Amino acid sequence: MLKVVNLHFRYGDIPVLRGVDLSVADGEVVSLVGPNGAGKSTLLKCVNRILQPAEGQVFVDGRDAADYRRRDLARAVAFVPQQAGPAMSLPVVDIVGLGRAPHRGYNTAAYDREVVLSVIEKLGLQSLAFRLFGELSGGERQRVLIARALAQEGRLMLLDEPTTALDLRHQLETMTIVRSVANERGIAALIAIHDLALASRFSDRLVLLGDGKVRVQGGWKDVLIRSHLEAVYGVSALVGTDQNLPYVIPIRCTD
Amino acid sequence: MSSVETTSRAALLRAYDQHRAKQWLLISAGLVAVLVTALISTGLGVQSIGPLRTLRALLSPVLPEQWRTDIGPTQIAILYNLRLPRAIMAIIGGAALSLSGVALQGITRNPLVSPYTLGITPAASFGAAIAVVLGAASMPGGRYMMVATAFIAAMVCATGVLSISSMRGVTSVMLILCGIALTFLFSALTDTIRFIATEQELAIIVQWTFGSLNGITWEEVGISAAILVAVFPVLRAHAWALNAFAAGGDDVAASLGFAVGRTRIIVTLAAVLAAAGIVSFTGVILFLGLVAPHIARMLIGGDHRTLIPFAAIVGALILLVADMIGRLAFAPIIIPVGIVVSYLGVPIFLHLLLSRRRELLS
Repeated sequence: MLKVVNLHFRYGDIPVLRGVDLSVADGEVVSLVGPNGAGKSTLLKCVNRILQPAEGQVFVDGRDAADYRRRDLARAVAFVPQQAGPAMSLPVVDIVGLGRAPHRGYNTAAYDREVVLSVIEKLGLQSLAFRLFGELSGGERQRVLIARALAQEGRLMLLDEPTTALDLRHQLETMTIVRSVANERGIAALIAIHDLALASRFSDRLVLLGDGKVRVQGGWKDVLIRSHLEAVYGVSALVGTDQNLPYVIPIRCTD
Repeated sequence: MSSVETTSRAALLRAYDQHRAKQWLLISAGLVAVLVTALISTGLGVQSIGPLRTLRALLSPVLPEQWRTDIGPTQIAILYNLRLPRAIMAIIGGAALSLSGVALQGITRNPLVSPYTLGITPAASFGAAIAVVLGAASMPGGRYMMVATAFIAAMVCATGVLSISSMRGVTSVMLILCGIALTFLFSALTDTIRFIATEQELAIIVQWTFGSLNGITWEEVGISAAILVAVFPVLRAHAWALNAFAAGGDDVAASLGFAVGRTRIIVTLAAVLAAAGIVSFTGVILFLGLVAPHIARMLIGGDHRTLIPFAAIVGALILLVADMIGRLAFAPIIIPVGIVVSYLGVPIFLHLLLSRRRELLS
C-alpha cells in the first residue's frame, strides 16, 4: 500500500529526513519510533504531501504520490493529527463529516450521511454526536479524529502521536481501534508514537528513526535491543519481557 | 443487522435530521426577523407609521386600488429615497461585515479576529481618505474610486497580516497584536492625511471615524449590494474548506484534499472586499465583524454551511436594531450607528472573552 524510497526533506538548510526507505502493506500496522526531532511527524507529512520532499519518492497504491491530485490523495490517505484545538464550535458530526470532503459531489449527500453515521456508531460516538468537539476529553477527541479518518474511506491511515496526551485506558482504546480497522478493513496504518511498549503490543513492525534515517526496522524483538536504543536515544535502558510482550525501563542517559 | 443496531441507527438518523432541520429553521426565522425589522425601521421617523402600513405604502404602485393606504406621495417619496435605502444599507452592511468576520475567523482559526482587529478596516478608511484628498468626492465616479482605494489599502494590510499568520510558531495572541500594531499604523496615516486635507475634505474623512448610515443613496446601496452578491456565493462555496481550517488548521485542510494556499487567498480576498466595500460608504463600524459571528456561532453551531448565511442574518439584524436605537434614543438627534454598535459590542465582547477565555486563547 505504501512504499517510501530514499526520502529526503529539509526545513530550509536543516536536513530532517536523510534517505528514508520503508513500506507498509495492506492491513499492516507499522509504528514509527525514535527520539524527538528524528523526523517521525515530518515523514508522515511527506507521505501526505503536506510537506514536499526534497528528494525521493512516496508510492501510494503503486503510484507516485506526487502524481496524485490533492483531492485524490485525500481519498486514499487519511491523516490523524497530533492534537486538535477547540475547533470553533464544530460539533462531532461535522468533524467526522469532514472526512467526506474529498468525496463530495453531486447527489452524494445521502451516502455521505450514511458513512458518517455508521462510523459514529462503529466507534461508539452516538452519545457525543451533537456535542461540540471542544467540550470533549482528550480520549474522546482522538476517537473522533480516527472516526473522521475512517469516514474518509482511505486505504492508508497516518497517525501522528495518537496516544501521547492520553491516559493508560484511552491509549489502549485508541490503539485497539487502529488495530481492529487494520484487521477488519485491511487498512494500512503508519503511526508515529513514543511509547515503545505500546507500539510493540499493537504493531506488526517497528521502524526506529534516528537522525533522519531508518536505524533498524522489524518485529519488536529485532528493534528493542539495548544497543539500538542506546545508539538512537542516548539512553541506557532495560528491555524485559513478560508473557512474550516487551517493556522498556530507561535507566540513565549515556551522553 | 440486528434489531438493536437498526433502532440505534434510526434514532441517530432522526437526531441528525432534527439537528439539520433546526439549523434551517433558525435561518428561516432569522430571514423573517430581518424583513420585519427592516419594515419597522423604514416606518420609523418624524411621522412614524407601523410596519404593515409601511409595506402597503412601499408596494402602493403595484397594489390594487382597495389595498392602498392614505399615505401621501410626499411621504412615500421619503420612504423610498431616505428610509428604505438606509434600512437596506443596514442589512447589507451588517451582513457583509459579519461575513467578513466569519471568513477571517475561520481561515485563521482564531475567534478573536475581525476585519477591525486585523487592521483591515482602518486600512480601508485610510484608502478612502486618500481618494478624498485626491478629489474623489467631487469627481464623477468618485465613489467607485473610493471603493477601489479602500480595497487596495485593505488588501495590503491583509496580505501583511496573513503572511505573518502563516509563519511557523505564530500564536493567536501574536496575530492579534500584529493587527493592533497595523491598526495604529493606519490610524496614524489617516491622521496625517487629515492635516493636509481641506476643510470640506476633512469633514468627509471625519465622517468615517464613526460609521453612519446618514444620507445613504440608492447608488451606494447598489454598489454595496453588488459586492455582497459577489462575496456571498464565494464564501458559501468554501464552507467545507472553512470547516476544515477551523477543525485543524492548514495541515488538516491539506490532508482532506483542500488547496490550502489558494483557499486562503480567495477567502481573504472575499473578506477584505466585503469589509472595504462597506467601510467606504458607512465608515468604520467597530465590533460588528467580531461579535456577530460569535452570536451566530453560539446559536447555530460552527458548521460554515449554515453559519455563513446565519451570520449574515445576525449581522444585518444587529445593524438594523442599532440604527433604530441611534435614531430613537435622543430623537430628533441621530446617534451614528457605529457608536451604538460599539456600546452594544463592547460588553458582549468582554463577556465572550471572559466566559470563553480557554477556548478563545488556547
